[in-house]
Amino acid sequence: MSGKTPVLQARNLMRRYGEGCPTCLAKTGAAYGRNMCPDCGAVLACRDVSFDLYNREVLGIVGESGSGKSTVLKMLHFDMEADEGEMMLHVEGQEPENVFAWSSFQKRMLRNAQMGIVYQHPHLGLRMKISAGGNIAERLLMAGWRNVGQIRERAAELLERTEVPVERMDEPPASFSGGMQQRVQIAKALSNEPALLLLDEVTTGLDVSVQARVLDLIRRLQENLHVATLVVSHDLGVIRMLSTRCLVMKNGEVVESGLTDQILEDPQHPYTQLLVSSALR
Amino acid sequence: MLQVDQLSKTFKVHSLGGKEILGVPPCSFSVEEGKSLALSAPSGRGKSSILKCIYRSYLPSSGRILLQSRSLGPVDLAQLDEHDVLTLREEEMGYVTQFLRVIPRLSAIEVVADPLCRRGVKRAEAEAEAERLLRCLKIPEPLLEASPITFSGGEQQRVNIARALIARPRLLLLDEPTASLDRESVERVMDMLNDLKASGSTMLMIFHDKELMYRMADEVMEL
Ligand SMILES: Nc1ncnc2c1ncn2[C@@H]1O[C@H](COP(=O)(O)OP(=O)(O)OP(=O)(O)O)[C@@H](O)[C@H]1O
Ligand SMILES: [Mg+2]
Ligand SMILES: [Zn+2]
Repeated sequence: MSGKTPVLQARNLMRRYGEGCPTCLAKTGAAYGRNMCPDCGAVLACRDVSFDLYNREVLGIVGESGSGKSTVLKMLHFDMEADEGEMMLHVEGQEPENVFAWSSFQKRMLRNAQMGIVYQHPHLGLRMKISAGGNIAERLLMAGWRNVGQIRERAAELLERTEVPVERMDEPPASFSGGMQQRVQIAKALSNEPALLLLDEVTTGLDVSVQARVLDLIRRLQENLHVATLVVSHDLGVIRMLSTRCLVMKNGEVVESGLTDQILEDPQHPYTQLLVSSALR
Repeated sequence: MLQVDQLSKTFKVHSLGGKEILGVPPCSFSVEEGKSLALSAPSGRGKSSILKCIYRSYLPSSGRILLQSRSLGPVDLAQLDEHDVLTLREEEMGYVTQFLRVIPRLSAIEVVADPLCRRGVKRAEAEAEAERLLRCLKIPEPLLEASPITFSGGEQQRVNIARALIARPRLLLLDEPTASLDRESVERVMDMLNDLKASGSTMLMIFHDKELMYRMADEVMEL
């Protein structure tokens, strides 16, 4: 009943910076506490990352700074190419396809039609000097909307849903608070009713009370939208509040994955134990 | 319906140089459909850990937890795929602890209605049922629309119970469900549990209070 098929299967994602040498993989990773190869200096930003994302599911990725979380997200959003690995997309009534193999045109179409992303820094996701409504309109145009009246109506509706005062839709995000900017980004990300929503550190850098409101907003939206969501955060509190399952990353590797409550109550890997004991006490 | 076979749980604590702590020494028991079994043992014997292994908040170290699931057929919860565990939690298993994990800004009614909504019941209907349960558990009127974050321990526990019972789970795991409640609330909870039992739910429970334990349980298992 709750969508028993994966929407997305990531398989062995790998991204390396630098030429690389034959020993890179053997000499980096969580066991060595580093992602840089001591022989050639290449950085293995992420390696062997595999997971399934189900319809309606919120999957968390938690890990310290530099562990490779954002790299995974950027590859899935085609902001960055994977060196290895597959991204199998399952669309109802069609054979699953590895979309990494698609042309850049096809990828752009897929992204415009099916994906939404919210970046940690609003300036990555928004044009700060054009109006909030304009930012959303731009997104809708890319997804194929044409009627100006409908676009404006939809933008207003989205801003209302993300609790941005609609009377401010003609102001540029530059004049908004951090929390509001994030809400505009969320409105924009949701505008095309994506099948896949990617959230990168959405609440990092916001005041605690603002953070709570944004998280709460995401939860409420999640309840009504049934979109498959990937939440990346270094903050276990965020992961706990939003995700039902999660992956723990360190030095470019997934060291542990499981039900979020299990990861929090019964962490297995030494790194996860450290993370949990320092975060939640 | 539930058969636990040589279940054990050890925690490996890496900050203590990989020291192993025995949380649950090997244990076996079973509960028939519609029956209630109470686990009884001195504090620290791993009663709560057993329930957590069954709910899969803990990963069992060894043994089997065989469940006759209505939607999945016979399964071993000790090995079951995460998504199947989530399905069982949503459709068949309820769990009550003393501790409430609340979602900020959601009202008590919304928190309690949530499991029903997830099962596809209409929001208005689910909230009406949530309100009925909360009233039945004597949650004061003004609190119904408030966030349980600021509730007292006993109030939070009643919200928890309402949330676990609202979907009328086939298998209910109860960890000291009445621990911080006053007499009257305890009686209300007992009524609700009896009602659920009468409609066929199976229960595995831990009661601190021996009198309540013997009132509720068909069988008691000394660990
Ligand atoms: N363009 C680049 N060139 C070289 N190394 C890079 C480059 N981009 C990222 N890296 C390295 O890849 C690793 C993973 O980076 P990534 O941004 O994915 O980490 P993250 O987990 O998102 O961290 P944070 O929590 O700080 O955002 C880091 O060691 C980073 O320094
Ligand atoms: Mg990052
Ligand atoms: Zn190398």
